Amino acid sequence: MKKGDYDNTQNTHGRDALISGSLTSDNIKKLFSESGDIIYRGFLIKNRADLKMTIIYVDGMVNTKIIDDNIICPLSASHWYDQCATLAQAYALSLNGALDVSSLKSTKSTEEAVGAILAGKTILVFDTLKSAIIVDTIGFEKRSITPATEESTYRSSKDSFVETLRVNTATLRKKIKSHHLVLEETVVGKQSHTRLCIAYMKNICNDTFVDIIKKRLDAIDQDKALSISDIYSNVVKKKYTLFPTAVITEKPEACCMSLLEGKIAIIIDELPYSLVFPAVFGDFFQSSCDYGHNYIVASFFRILRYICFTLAIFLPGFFVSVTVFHPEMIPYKLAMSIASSRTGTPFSMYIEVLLMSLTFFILIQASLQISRTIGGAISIVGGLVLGEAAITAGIVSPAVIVVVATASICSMAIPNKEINSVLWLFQLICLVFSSVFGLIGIIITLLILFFSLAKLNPLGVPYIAPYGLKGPLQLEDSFIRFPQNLIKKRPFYLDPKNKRRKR
Amino acid sequence: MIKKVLALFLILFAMLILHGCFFPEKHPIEDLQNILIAGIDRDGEDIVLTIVVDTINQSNSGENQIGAELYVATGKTVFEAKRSLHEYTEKRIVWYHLKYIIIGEEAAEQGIDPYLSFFCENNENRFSHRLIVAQGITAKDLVQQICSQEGGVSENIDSLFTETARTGKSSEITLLDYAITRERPWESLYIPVITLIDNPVAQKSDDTQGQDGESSHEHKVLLQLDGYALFDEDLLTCFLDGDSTRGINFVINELDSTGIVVQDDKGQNVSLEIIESKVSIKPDFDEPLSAAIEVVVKSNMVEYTENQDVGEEYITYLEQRQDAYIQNEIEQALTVIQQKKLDVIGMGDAFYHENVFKWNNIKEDWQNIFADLKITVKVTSDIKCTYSLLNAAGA
Repeated sequence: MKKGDYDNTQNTHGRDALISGSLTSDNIKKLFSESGDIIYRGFLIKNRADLKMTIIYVDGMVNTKIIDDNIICPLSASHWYDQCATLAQAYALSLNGALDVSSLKSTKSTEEAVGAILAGKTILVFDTLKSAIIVDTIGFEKRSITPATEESTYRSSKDSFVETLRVNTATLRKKIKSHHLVLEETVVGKQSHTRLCIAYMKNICNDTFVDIIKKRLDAIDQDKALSISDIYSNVVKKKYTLFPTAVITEKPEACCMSLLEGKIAIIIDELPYSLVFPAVFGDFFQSSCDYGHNYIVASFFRILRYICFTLAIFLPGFFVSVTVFHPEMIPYKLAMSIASSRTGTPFSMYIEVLLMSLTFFILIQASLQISRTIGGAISIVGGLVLGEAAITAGIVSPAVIVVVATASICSMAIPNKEINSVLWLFQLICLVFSSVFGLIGIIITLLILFFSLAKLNPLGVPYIAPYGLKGPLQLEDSFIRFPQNLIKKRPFYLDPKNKRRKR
Repeated sequence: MIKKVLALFLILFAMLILHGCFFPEKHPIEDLQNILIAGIDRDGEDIVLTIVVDTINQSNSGENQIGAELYVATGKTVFEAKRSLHEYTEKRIVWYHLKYIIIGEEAAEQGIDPYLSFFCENNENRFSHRLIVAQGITAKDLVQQICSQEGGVSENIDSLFTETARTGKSSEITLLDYAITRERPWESLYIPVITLIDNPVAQKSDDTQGQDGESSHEHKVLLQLDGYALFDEDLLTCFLDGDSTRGINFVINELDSTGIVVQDDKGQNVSLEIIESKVSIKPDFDEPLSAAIEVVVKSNMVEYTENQDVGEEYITYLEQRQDAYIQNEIEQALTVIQQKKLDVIGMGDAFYHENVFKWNNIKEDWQNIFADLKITVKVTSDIKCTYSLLNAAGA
């Protein structure tokens, strides 16, 4: 063992002793001895030396106006404290209404007091009593609710989740004014102590889902929960799948719609998203914008998304298959058009398509990694300049550009970003197989795709539901969308407690 | 999970090894030349194969232009003739997009089965290839003539078929039709005929050129799609002219539109455009065997003297004239095919579907029975529209 390791261990043991020790301001000071943002203010109630206490809070995380006006002011000027003979009486008085605050509680646990400080609360430590009062003074800077940036908001509410958990839960409450809406809170992350909120409708959501989610959240054994994947990977438990099994949305409206279907949402503090479980394949082709359109238009767009999904995966592979292995399948005039466009190009067809597809993926990555202002320039440079230059230089044929661009645009027509990434990977798989086996490669990709979809069952719900199941083929709000008054039942595969929507 | 993955790989592996070829052969589209038209002639014992293939040429401006090249090869079989072409073609020549198979008259007289069986069996060919017989000319000369014309090579013949459909004097026959007909020994095959005719405009220009000294760019000959070549088994037996062909087309329901001219009660010519024709064949097994052909024709009056009183009686009269005209045309065509003992109208098929047991008794001698078959023709006309501005009520 090195010397440094020994010191660290000794230090850790010392802190553990302080946490489990008695609740005094000295102990807390020792715990945060290296942190400069913790404010300790010794205070004499009514300026009496026998009524000594310490106010402790994290600078920047509290509303100092509440501390000044509602804590310090009553402690120093309120006539209630004139009759206090002992510190214990002052402590009791503070707990019972002398302080002008809405939420407070007492504690004798150092661990609880430290947790409260770190959560942005203020604690009033009474050293001689080895007790503290925790006052809710949370008031750090937070982002206001802004329109959703990652999801379209056509004829739907424009608000989005923010990084503050309480604001997000309040938004849900504002949209679903029902006492059946349950917002259970828990803390995850041994070091980050991140607060989570599990939201579900008590009268709709299947209890099995709630139990599974709670059990999996309780079982999380990691130091942080600062990103979506920290929670997602622990709740989903499926390591070998490309397909997402939870809808990640930044729109409270979409989250509320899912809750009313009988799903369960997890909202994580400090993340402006909610994770909705369980998600089935069809969920990723639906958008909250669908409900802003006429039902016929919305149905058309949904069908179009499935077609786009198919084209995005199979079009480049199919193009390579038919032009390299099965040219007899192409109508004569199209065949001649493709053949004449290929004159003089140096690479074989599948290398060309592969190169162009990879270039597209690189462009996508480049535009995601850089700021939005330059992102537009990347699109122009990539799409127009690079494409045009590649054709002029005779490196690629125009037909290949058309095919890859069509597949790329089709992939963008899917409203969910998670599915987009999966789709690009399957596009590459299809391309590779098609380059080797021709149309058989397309069938191989199709089999792998169906296999990947059919084997998934998040929280016990078949991923391909409602298709291919024994129950009724619920088309009301899946592949197409019926008029709102005809959507009468909740998805049967979620086994909701209340099967009819209007109850 | 492991079992499922294993099952998937097993399925994929089985699919790869069972589908015929593990790694399919590559035929990149840019390395191919497509045969568009194939002409077949006889030169003694050899087959002369004339093909038109597409080419991609780069123009002076750098743009790619699609053209056509003509190749002629000889061999004992069609396959051998085509293979011999590979010795001097730049790219691999394929049959994928072959559209027309033209058979020379002499080759057709010696039997078409040896040539067409190759196209039926070859994996590169499709049953959608259309068959044509060149009348009075070799297939090679006809193909050369087609290539010398302006416009796309196969488009020239396409437009012939499209336009001839308005006259009803021909129709398309595919390789599939040939294969089906050859499967039925009692049926005879017919194939549309293309001939070369003198271009009257070009001849007139030649006369003018003699006077003015200016050259003419008009073609001296034109392609004409007119009539059918009739086959006894696979041997060319005779040609039907355009009018008889239209009579046949009435009976086999291949008539989309045509025009006929009849005379009204005052001897004035009236043009009628037939817009719809439906036929039903009713066979009768009672001795002697007979059949009734009922044709229902709808037509419009498209040209007549405007000052004519177009009343109900007038239209009824024209309908009767039209009945007689069409009936006569059909009967003339039937007379020809019955004389030649060539059932090209599917009469045997009608008897087969009427009563298969009774059909089995007569099918062996069908050709002779067909020659003596009493066929009655009944035409029912319905003139739908007169286009009369003066007497709109008659419309």
